[in-house]
Amino acid sequence: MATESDSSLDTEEFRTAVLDVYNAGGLLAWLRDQGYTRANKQFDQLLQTLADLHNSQALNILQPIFAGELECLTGRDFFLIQDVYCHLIPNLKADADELMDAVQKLVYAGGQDLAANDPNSAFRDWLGNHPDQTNQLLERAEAGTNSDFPLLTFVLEAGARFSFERYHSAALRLLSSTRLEFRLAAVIALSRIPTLPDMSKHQETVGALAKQVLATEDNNERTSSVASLLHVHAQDVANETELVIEAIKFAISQPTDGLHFILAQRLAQHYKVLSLEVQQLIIDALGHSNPAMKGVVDQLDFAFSQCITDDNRQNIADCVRQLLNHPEHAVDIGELESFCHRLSAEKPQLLAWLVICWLRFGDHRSREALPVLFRRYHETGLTLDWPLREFALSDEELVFVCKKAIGYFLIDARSAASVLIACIDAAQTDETAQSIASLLFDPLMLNYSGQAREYIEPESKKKRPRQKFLKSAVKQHDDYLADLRSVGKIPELWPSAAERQIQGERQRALFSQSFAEAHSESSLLNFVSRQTLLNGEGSVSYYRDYGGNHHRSETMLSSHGTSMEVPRYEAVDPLYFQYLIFLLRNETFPE
Amino acid sequence: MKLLIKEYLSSLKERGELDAILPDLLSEMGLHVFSRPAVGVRQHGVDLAAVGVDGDGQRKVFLFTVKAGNLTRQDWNGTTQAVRPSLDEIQDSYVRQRIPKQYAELPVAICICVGGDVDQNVDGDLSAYEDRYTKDGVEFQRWDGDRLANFMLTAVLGENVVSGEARSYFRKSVAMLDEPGASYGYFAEMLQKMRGEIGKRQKDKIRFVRQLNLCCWVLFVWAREADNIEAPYRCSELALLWGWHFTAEHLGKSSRQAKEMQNAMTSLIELHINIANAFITEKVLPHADKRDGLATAVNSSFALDVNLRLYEILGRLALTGIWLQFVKNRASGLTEEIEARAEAELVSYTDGLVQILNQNGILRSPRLDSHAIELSLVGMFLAMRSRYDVISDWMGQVLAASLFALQFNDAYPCILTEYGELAAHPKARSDKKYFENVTAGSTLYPTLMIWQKIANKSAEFTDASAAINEILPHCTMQLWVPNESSEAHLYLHDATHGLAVVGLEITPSGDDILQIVFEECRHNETRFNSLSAVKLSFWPIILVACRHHRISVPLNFWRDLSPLNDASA
Repeated sequence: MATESDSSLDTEEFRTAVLDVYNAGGLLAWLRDQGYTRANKQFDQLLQTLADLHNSQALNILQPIFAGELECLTGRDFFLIQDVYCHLIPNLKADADELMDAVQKLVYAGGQDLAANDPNSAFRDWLGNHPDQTNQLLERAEAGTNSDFPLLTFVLEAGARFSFERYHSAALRLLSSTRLEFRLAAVIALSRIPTLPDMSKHQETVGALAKQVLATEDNNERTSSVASLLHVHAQDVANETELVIEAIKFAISQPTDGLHFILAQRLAQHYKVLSLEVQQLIIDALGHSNPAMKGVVDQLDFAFSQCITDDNRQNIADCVRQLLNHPEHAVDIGELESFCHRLSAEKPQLLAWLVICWLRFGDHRSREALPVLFRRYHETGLTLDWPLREFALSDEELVFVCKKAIGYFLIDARSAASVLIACIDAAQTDETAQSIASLLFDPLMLNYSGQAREYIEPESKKKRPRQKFLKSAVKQHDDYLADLRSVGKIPELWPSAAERQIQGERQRALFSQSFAEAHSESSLLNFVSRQTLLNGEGSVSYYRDYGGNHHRSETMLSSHGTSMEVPRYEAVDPLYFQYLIFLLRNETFPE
Repeated sequence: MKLLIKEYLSSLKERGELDAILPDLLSEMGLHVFSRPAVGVRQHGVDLAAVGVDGDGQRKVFLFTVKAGNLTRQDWNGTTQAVRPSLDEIQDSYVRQRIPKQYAELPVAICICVGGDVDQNVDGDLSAYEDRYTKDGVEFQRWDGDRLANFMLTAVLGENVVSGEARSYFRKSVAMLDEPGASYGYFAEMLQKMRGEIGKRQKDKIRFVRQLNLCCWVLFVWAREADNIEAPYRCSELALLWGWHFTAEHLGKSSRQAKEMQNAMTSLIELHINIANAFITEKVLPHADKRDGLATAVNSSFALDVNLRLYEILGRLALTGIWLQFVKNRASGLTEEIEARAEAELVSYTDGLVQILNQNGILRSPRLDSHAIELSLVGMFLAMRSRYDVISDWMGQVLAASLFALQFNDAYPCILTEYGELAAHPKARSDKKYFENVTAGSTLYPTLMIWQKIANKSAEFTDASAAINEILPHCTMQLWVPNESSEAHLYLHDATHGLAVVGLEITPSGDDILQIVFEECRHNETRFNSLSAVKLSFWPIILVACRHHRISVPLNFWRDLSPLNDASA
């Protein structure tokens, strides 16, 4: 391994060495081994020397690529050398076709890595530096060559930088080419060729792309056209035309996984500028996407997390609901990680709106998803402000919402209680308030004397129009608990020691199993090494530093625990508990 | 052992306890009791009178005045009901006029009988009284706790009548009262030991029953002190069955020994009813109206424990209610006041039962198929009280809940009996073999349907029958009847007996199953009536046996409740 030095490169020595290795074969590996990559302090000199050698035809720097030397390089090593090429290419004197071949090989060798396409950018820069050759390539494409022309996009893109009119027009013409790859190249290039501030060119591009969407019968082409259309349109949406809307609607009517991916991607990128109508079209379309395509779900998740507002929340709610109910690949709300995080961490009002929306108008899957959102929200320690007035719910609807809240939030009694109290406050009649208040006692506080009561009792002390109903619920609970306490001890009813032992052992086995499963699924615990202490409340360990010196480290143990409140019905009437949840969840609102 | 007995004696109450065990003790000592304690006031100072040979070899008349606990100054001469006035009354009235003619010539021993000791500050006065009033033909004896314990140990629980091993099991049973399961286990072992030691004579069987009575009393009194009478409830229930098994063949006769046997058995039955009544009235009924009160009192966070315990309470309450109704129906010559009190108690039982059903929802969902026994007991008691509305309503809820549990695989009724297996029940429904095994047979669903039909002739089971036939096509629906073997094994449950009535079809109307049941009632009538408990009109004992040994209640008990009777009579 060569060591770096501060002294400048001995160019002659380097040249000689390069040529020797080049002639013997193995130049790329040698460059890697010698550290002649970007980290080298003389990198610029190295590049210049290599470029000079190539341009003076002392060697063909592209030859090692065709000789298969890339195959000896993997992982980081490959990308180090690829990076060298990306710096070299723009300044090389080379035959365009040969260079395109080399670039394609470099891109192919990069695989699925995000950096794999970097050589394309280098080639584009080369095109920009060699306008004559660029023009020749364009002429060849316009002449209708039958040979492959995979990098035509970059030709158009690069050419537009030095000859906008010619290349822009060429791209527009190529939209009508008989060759699919040319049309695709044109579509993509048009999304990259900047037209503004020339509004007429901009409109021309938008119009052409819209027509392309409407005209093509190829799904991939249509998807690419939509992608380009939205990208270009987003640069100036002020003059949104019917044609744009029509094109989007048409594309949506021919759904594919690729289209959904692009729609989600563009929504995430351009939601700030896209009109509400376009956003809504896209969101509604995404409701029909295939959740089995993880990429689509990820894009959609990110898009919704960014773009959700009061204006499009209904569309997003409906879209997510469709995905949750997909007949074959139903999405789990937890898969929409970004969306959930955004709602619970930054948009509590939207979260609250979504909860009420789904409680009243949702379905089983969407309501089932709500506690997941809550769990994250509770970690913030804040309480939600329920926007019941926005929905203008009737008393019957309020009772319905309360029952659904209990049916789905029963494990999260605090959240259910807050919904019920908000509904009591919003109720129009005392009868409705009383009806809801009775639910506060039974089943909420009756089951959760801890978390539900801790929330409801302080609320019952606050001045509000219907305070008496909350107080009454708390009083009912007090009376219930007083009755239970008055029973005292009846040892004749107690389980025997043997029975308690059996239950105890079962519980221990269950907890032990859960613990082991959690342990095996924890990436942290699988990453760290484990030590078992037999005695003591802490540990002492020694480690060596780089100088070989011992250092002492003392760590005290601390306890970590969690608690959960089990509903009372689990012990005193579990079947009724299940039946109650079943009833509450399955009750439908008479529309 | 003596200390154990002595402690027990000192804890006995006067009325209904100390004076209840004395007659048996005296009989076992060879004395003939010719006057027993009566409810209410002493008979001229005498609580109990007997005749027999004393320790000095002389045949005497023994007149007992009984006092619970220690004899204090207050008890000696503090009230009109105190001992000294009673002794005066005995001498002034009873000795002169009340001794039966055939014993008139015999010397009289006036016995001051206390469960504990004579206090030192009374001893002097009592001695002086004894000195003053002892004369020819009249003497005074002190029967304190120590002396009574000695008599018990020699006459009833002596080594010559009960083996050391049996006595050891009894001691362990008492020692483990706070762990009722263990106490009951030792008591059952004691019975097995004693079984091998019972002689063939009627006298031996009478003694055996008296021994059971005494043992149960000791358990009860000790348990009462510990405020946990679970062990004596279970032990006395078992003792009652054992006692019946060994004496039933003689009870219907009119000989003197048969009468003694009847008295001994009656005492044992009364003791068990008293224990049961104490449990129900002191521990259960006061909390019947509290929502989830009894369920919470189980003091367990496991629904299985709550379910099993509450069904146990239900069965005991219903069975005790049946006993009380049975006793009331048989009693004759009761004053209005006593009859009203008895009826009030039954009303309290009925209302309490209904409240418990309403306030403890877990009773809608039986975990064991054998909870059909408790359901039948409840049905019988409520039928005796003409509460068909409750029968119809509650049985309907139980049926609906059981089917819901089946459909949702949530602790549905099963035939498992081991606690460990029940704790793990149910397994996933995908384990088809497990499901079919644990629901292979059922008495529960037929029982529920029949009770509903009895309570409401027009009851329909369209949904229930569809669900049952869909989910439980493999299940043998059945009921049970006794056969010729049952008399020998019903009370001790030492062998399988009886017949399962199978092939019961669950149909929407329920009429088919009803017809089979009452057809079988007619067919089995002779066998059922031949059971000693039926013959001797003590049929609740069959229910005790069924509840205790977990045997299905014979369908014969529906005989008089048939809604088809009008047409089929």
